[in-house]
Amino acid sequence: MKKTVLLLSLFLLLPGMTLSAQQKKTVAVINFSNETGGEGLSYLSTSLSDSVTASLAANDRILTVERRQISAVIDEIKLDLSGMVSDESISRAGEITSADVIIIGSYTGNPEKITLTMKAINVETAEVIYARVISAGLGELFDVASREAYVFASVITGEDTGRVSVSTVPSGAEIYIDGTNTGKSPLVEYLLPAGSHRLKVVLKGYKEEERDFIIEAEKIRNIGISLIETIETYPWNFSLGAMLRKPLNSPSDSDLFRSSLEIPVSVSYTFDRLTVEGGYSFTKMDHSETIDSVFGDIEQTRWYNIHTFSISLLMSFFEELEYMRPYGGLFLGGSMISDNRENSSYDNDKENLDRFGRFVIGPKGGIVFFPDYKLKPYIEMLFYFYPEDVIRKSYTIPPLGGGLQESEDSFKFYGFSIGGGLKYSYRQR
Amino acid sequence: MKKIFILITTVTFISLSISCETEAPKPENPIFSDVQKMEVTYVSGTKYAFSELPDYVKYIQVLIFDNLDQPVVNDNDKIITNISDLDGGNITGLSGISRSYVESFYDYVSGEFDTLTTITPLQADDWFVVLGFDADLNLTHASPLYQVSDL
Repeated sequence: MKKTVLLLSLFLLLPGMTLSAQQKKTVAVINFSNETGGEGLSYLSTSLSDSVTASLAANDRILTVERRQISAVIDEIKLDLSGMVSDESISRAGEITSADVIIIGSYTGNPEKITLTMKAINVETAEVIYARVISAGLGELFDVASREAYVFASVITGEDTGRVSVSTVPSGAEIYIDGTNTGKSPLVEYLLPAGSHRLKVVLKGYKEEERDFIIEAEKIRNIGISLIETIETYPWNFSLGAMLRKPLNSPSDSDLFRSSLEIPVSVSYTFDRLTVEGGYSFTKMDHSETIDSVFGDIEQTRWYNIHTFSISLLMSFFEELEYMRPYGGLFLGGSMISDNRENSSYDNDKENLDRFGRFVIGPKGGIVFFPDYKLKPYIEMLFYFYPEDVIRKSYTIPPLGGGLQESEDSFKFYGFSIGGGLKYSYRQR
Repeated sequence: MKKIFILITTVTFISLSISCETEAPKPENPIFSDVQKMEVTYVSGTKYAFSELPDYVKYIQVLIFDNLDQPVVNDNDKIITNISDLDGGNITGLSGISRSYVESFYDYVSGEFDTLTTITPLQADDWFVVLGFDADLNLTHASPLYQVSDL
């Protein structure tokens, strides 16, 4: 008598299902079984199956059984989604719900990774017509389950499906299809609805691969991907370069200072987008001049040896660019400057006239090319600003009757350097 | 006869004594301190030789002042301050001078040597100084301040 009442109530509550039952498949999604061993995730039992039901309902060739209305039935026949249901229970459930197909499932794991198993069972034959195991964190679980529901819908309604196999070199990469993690490669004949799909392959230490592909009905699509090794982090960088250092002013508006070769070396450490760089550079800057004398014009070879030690704080920009990585920031440090001249009266023909230190600061920027590689070229430009004037001794000679007369000039010592070099990234996992 | 002999001896002795007292000693120190000394000796005619100079001495100045204008020296700056009083001389690049000797002296007019006008023979009381420079115009050698009669 009780069973009769239940059956009657189902018929009364689900009138719409019978109207087009000839053309449409009726699907009942049973509460998923909580196998996590705790009660914390027990709410997923109904909420996940609700989500799957909603996704199935989006297919106009599927009728879903309203879950609240079947819960009493489920309780009645003690059917849960443990997966260990008997043919008889399936048949009985189908009978009660008038469903052609029931979907049962279970889930295990923890909020970081939940593994959900879903099965679609033909009520009439008790045959599992499709099953899928998926894993996702709690945050993505509902999206992933919903996307899987679309695949189930395709299988249940007999829509066109095909399969895809994905292999990678090396294997073991995480395979995502339409955002769903389908496991590690190789992926073998994974069922998908016919149509366009998106594949993403992720393996630590390798460049992420993403591509679109099309599944044709009843066909198997084989996709092979050779992953390109990348370096996840390159915190330590060593660089060596060559730059042209161009002075922007000279004492007494003369053009004494000439562009010179500058050799910079540096060691840097990168914190995400911020790089701290310690650098040293050397340049020998020519500031020779001609002395007008009674013996004619005498060229006086002069030069500064400039040793610069600096610390730079640099930010990288446009991280999304694949082949280049612009950066910019500020450097500050000190230059040890020695003023020299060629003098045949001294050892090695070199006379050191003066030696002094100056604080230096300025902006710095550049571009690193192929930033994901261990050895990569870069170009760089920096502006030198010395807040304190720099000193230069200068010499004149009287027309007759005396030797060189020494005097001192002081002047602003601005300039910029432009050049490039190579950076080597030391890999530290 | 004995008195005549004594008289002759006395006169000769006195004459020799007088002549020895009037001969001034030759200057020894270079005109500037902290430079090396170069000596000048008279050869013959108008030729005066310099002491053997090292290879790095590339340029020579020979400066002649007349007896009225003795060179004034600023030793700190190693410069003769009254060079406008220069009477004449010679420098490397003109004829009649080398790293070993000088035998031509030109008039100094309006800040330049007039190579068409020589001032030889020099007067005995003219002041005579020679300076030597290296390739970088460092003053490395200087003679004492002579008078021509010293040479």
